[in-house]
Amino acid sequence: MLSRFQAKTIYLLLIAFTPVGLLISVCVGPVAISFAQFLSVIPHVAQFSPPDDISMAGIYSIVTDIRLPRTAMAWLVGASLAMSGAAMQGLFRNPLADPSIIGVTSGASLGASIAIVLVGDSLLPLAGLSTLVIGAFIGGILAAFLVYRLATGSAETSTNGTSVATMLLVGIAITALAGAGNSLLAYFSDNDMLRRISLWNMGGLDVANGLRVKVAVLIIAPTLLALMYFRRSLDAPLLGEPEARYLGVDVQRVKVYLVLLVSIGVAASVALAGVIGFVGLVVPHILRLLMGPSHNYLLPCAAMGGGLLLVLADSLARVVVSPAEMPVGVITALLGAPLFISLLRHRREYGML
Amino acid sequence: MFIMLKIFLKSVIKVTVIALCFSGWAQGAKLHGQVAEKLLTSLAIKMIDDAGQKIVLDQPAKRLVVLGPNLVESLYAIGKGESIVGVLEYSDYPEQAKRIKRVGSHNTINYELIVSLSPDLILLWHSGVGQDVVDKLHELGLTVFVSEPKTLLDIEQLLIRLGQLTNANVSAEIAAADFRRQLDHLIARYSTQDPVSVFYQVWDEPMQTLNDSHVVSSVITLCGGVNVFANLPEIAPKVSVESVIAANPAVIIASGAKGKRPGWLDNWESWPMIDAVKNKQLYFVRPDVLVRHAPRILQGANEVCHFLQQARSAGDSSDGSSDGSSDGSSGAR
Repeated sequence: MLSRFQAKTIYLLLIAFTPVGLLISVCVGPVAISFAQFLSVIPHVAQFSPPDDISMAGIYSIVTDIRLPRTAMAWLVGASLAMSGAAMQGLFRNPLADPSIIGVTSGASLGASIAIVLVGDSLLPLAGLSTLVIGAFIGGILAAFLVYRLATGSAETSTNGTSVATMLLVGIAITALAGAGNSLLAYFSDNDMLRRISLWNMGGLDVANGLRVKVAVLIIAPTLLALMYFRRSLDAPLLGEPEARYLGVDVQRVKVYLVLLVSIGVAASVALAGVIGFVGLVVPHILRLLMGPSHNYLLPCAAMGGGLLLVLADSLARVVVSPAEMPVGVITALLGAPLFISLLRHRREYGML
Repeated sequence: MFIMLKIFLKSVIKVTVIALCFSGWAQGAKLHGQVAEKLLTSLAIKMIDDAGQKIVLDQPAKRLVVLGPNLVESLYAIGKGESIVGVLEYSDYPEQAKRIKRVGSHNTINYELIVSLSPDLILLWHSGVGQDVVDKLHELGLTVFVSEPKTLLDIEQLLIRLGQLTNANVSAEIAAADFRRQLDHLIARYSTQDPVSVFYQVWDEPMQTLNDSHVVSSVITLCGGVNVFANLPEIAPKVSVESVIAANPAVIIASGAKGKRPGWLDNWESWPMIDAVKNKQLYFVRPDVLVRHAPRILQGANEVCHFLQQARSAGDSSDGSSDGSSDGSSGAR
């Protein structure tokens, strides 16, 4: 009961703090915008009409064309990574599971490298999205599909359908294979390509623009909502798959849908913002430590927590070494790891471990 | 198991390397014997390289392995291109350099190939290959000249020293004097002009620039420009559209791949509050004439100076109309 009370408190706290985080993110950046200026721009932003005053028009376009897209993309990517992580940890009943466990991230990395090294600028960007984004998305989806097919194929003889353990191992194998492919391409690439590959692998939200946000809203937001639909079906498998079946949960169906949703959401996140570690692995753990394992609250809280963490980390990334930018993955780890460690020290009975 | 394998491999490599060294030494000794009789000992060349190492050559270098495209260009500039026997990938200038044997690229060096070419001198650009490569070449018993030019004037010195190393003193002095004369001309003409703020864009996604420790920044300064990100701590910092807006450069100069004007340069059109965009001062300079410490950098410098001069006149003519928005951007800072 206590944990349920806590869960609700955290849920409400996250709902309350999300707008604060978003507001902070829109207000900070290399161009200092005072709060008064910001307030006077809001009505124009709401009506999509730039103000007539030239200096205010500048602030208007910084807010609408740079900061709002960046904030929105940071939230969606963070939410998608953390919620997918929570779902994967629940499904695999494994504390080390993160969104990359089904091979999506490394597949997307390989797709991006292929786009950079082999396709280059020769192929025209599709509808304004760079070949890199498209390559990464396709790579991520293909890798996840491959992992799923291989895991299902090898387990057909058993009654289990897709074995979770096999899938985990196949995921590791595909990750290693994609990593080798990536190294091979890096070996054959020139200085320019190498720089692009390594910076892409660091991840960052500076590439956000209106188009990318539209893509994120169209692809990531539906996967978040769909994952929410499965939040109750995830609790039963925690008891074990046979037990879940006795409780009337169609485990195989849940598994298929979850893997599908996570691979789409994470592939899109990685394609749009590069590889951002830590959020997907640790945010769900922090929340599980605080509020207990029930996915009913855990999934929405993971989405909000991941979104909030990435939005705040990205705000810091913009200002700490301004006008240069810090890799956002460094900041998510610096913010989250100490919190995670202190929580682990105080709650040694953490069920997931 | 793995450790054993590793140790085994290491010892195999060591033995191979020692054998190779030995054969190289034996050949060198034979050559030395023949030549020493004919030549005076005064031909011995002693020099301190940019890493502070003492280099001693019994005779001018005749077989050079050159690890750095800028050094290849410089050797051709003093007329000693034909004595190069091995180069790195991307040594693409002049045209003849493309036909020289490749001994590695930025991430790998084929040491066996280098040894098999029996070079009498390795020239290398330190920032390009790193200390590990220098150490390894020393271990192999090769004579290594480490070059680390920092300023534009260092290129003059580089040419002179390359001439001393390869017995091309006269042509090297001429090339160096020529370089110095052109450089002085640019300095005299441009460096005291009205300062123009410049954003040098290496790439768009991720958006990278260069700080003042890079030679591109020296070229900008030479032309009377001010690199807006000169003071950032990293040499190739990542910046954002917003930080460029905040810096409000008068000129944007783009690098790019494969010698073409990059398409992303036009993406700036959506930010007319930047002076460079408002006054149409978006330029492209081929990176190979701007980033390499070689005489050809004067070509890049000429272009940059020319562009900055255009920006000065464009800035003058639009001064009246730019008042409003420059107020705005300074207010936004």
